[in-house]
Amino acid sequence: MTEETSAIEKVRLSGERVESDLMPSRLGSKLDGILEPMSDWFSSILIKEARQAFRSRQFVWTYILQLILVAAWTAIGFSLFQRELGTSLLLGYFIILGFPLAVIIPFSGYRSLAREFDDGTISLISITTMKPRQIIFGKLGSALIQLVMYLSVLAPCISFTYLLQGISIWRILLGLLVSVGGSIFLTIFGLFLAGSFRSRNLGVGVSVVFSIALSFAYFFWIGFCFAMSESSFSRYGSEESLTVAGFVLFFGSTALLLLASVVAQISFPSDNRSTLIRVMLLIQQTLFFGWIGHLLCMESFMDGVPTVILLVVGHYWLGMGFLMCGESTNLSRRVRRSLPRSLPGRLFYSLFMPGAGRGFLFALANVWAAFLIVWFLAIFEQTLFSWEWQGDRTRNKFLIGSFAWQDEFIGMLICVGFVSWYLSLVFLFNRYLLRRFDWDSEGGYGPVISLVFGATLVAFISILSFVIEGAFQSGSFGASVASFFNWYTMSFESSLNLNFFVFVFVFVIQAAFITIYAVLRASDDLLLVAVETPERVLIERLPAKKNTLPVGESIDEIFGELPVRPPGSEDAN
Amino acid sequence: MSLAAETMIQLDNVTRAFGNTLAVDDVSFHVDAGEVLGFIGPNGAGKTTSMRILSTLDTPTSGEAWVDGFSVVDDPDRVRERMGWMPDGFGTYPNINCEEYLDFFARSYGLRGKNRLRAIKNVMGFTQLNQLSKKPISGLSKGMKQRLCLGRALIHNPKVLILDEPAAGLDPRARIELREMILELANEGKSLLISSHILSELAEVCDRVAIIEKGKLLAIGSVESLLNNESRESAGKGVSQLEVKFVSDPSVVNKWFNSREDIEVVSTTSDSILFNYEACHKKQSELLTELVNSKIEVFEFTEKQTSLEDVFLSVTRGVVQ
Repeated sequence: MTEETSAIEKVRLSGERVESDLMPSRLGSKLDGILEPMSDWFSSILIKEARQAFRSRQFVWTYILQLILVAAWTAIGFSLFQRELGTSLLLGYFIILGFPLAVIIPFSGYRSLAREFDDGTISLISITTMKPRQIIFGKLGSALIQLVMYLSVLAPCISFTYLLQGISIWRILLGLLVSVGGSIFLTIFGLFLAGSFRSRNLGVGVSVVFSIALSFAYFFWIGFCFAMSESSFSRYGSEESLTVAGFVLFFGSTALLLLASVVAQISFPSDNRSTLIRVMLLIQQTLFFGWIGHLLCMESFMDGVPTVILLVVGHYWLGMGFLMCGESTNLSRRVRRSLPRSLPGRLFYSLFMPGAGRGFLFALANVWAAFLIVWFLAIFEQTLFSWEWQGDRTRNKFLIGSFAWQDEFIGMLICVGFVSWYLSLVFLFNRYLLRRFDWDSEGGYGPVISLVFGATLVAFISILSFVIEGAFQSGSFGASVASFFNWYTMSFESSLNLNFFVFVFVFVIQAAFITIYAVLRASDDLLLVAVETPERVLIERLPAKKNTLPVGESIDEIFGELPVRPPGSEDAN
Repeated sequence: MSLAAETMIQLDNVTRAFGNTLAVDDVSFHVDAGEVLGFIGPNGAGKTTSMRILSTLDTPTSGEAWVDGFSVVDDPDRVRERMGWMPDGFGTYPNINCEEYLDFFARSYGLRGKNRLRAIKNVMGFTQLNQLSKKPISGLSKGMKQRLCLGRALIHNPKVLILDEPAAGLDPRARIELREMILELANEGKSLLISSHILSELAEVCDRVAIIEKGKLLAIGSVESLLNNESRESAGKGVSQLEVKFVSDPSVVNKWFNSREDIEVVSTTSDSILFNYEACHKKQSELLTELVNSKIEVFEFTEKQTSLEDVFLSVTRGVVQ
């Protein structure tokens, strides 16, 4: 060894003193000694982001400004508003609170992840043992801490307004729910944007658009505050409550979906990036129908509503289906290890696995399930209202055998049929590209390309048929062959001048043929074969996590076939 | 696939394509425990892509890569526990200091409590960042940042280290210190894969060297064997590269050398001339005598030793262009 090496040794020895300096118990602060071990419970990202955020000028200035504005508004409020003092103060407090919550925190969340991509630090944290979801939840957690800090300034003031006349607790809770929930949603949306647009040049444009969108969100928030201050919102069960519940369910489930998406975007290519997203899609659809079902218990379906529901759900699965049809067909060995071995398990769980064919079948299954659910709900609603309002049978449009029921039913069926047709076309188009040009979506753009193609296809066919129809029928839509290819015309005007047999021959047969062919092609993807987990991985996994054996592998198989290392003999990393 | 216990890094026919471009083309090599492998190649040769694949930041289009027996594609989480990566660029975070930076990565690697504090202490001691622990990263010099980056890669005490251009942009003193650290790590039994443009640096720290160009691995072997091969090749051709330093008028010297048909001039300066001549030492001695007799005032006459640069140029010249 050279003299320099000796020098390094010396420094390393002096490091012993540094260790003692770093140990919290030697810092002379008992508090640090207590808090330091507790910090191990928190995400490393959360701690780092919190350190950075609270030292940033942006936070300090926003916080101080918020304090000043709150104090000023309180003073102004007491001097100016003699009547409805509480309402006026609350309105001002919520508007002050809205700015950091609607603009500062979401944009900070967006920049936090975008900067990781810009500076290349995402690579550094990606190769740590942190999971992608820990990274994203750490970022979100940091935003929540900031949110709590900003809220702490306003919380005493908002609580104080409750003591004044004219403020209901529901109004305050609604304001807090929308402001906090909205802030979290916008932050998640910001994280999603940062994960989706990683290019530095693109990122600049996205930053500008997002900041403008956040400004609009803030103005919307101000409008909401004024509306809330004049609202008679007071109890659960009113129309407003149902609307709020609907918004909460929609934005809550969408937030979960966006989180799953951004986690998938930063996951390793061989990871399973689809199953969680598909579960979230399913959850969102379930919540939607739960909400619709709840509405049904209070209100009756009106004409055309089932078709509108199917149109909404159809477009949803059309968009999601297009994205899934663009997924890579390759299933990594890492994912194949986790495949179920039983036939029912394979049949059901396979739909949740990544891959274009499986995604296509998943979307198709869901849209048909939605059709059946709406049909069931319609029958349920008809029965329910038949019991309750015996004298008001005219409101019931779903009596089996009635013309109205057939009309709605066919409208719904047409809607689902079009979704199946479009999904099949896009799926087969992607398959063709893959076979013809050896094209695969490994670069991550497959889903986007598929979505763009699908959306263009839908728009092109709909507009073309609309134009042809308009040109030849002088504005009388829904009667010619061209209109058979227009989803929107057909869904709502299926009973008007419809030559049913012509429609069946021109559209239904070819659509059914294409769909069945696509389903058969996609069915190949369901025949997944699981691969064995390497011995080395199994051995290493056992002492640390005995309960997380790969699906389909019994502990007896593993213990019977492989030597097991005793705990503690692992590689000491 | 079974690997020998000592093999810490292995690439088997790894190919990485970006569209029609093959960034890495059927590359295979291995690095044993405690071994330092230098990865040489010009910009765009495929070094960084290979390293990114080994660092679980990218996946090969075909082929397999292993770290300590674990596939980088199928078991990236286990590879990450065992591997430390130091990229050529240095990613910084605003508003945190050196200690907090290392603390963040220690936590990210799952180190808890005293283990975490001990790891930070060890790394700070090793990289000599003790005095700078509370200093913001933005205020560090390039050399200090490189140390911190090395410290980050070492924080979880990995068995394998992948260093991409670690000496780039460092001053000579920082380079020497970095070299010492690398040797120290190799002595501790860690396997290192190092890429660098500074071939003389690599020659001093590497046990073996792999030369890559246009994605293809052109040569791999110990530094000595590559140098010997190059020397033998030159000797086989019967040619040596000689350098003469003089105090005479350069025009006179150049005229004299250019008049000789048995000499191939490579380059000239105001006080030296580099040329190819017969490898035979007796002939070289006679040439020196002739030079002196021709009234050229020579103060140095040397046979140029084969360097890693020569090997690199010799291997890459005309092979994959």
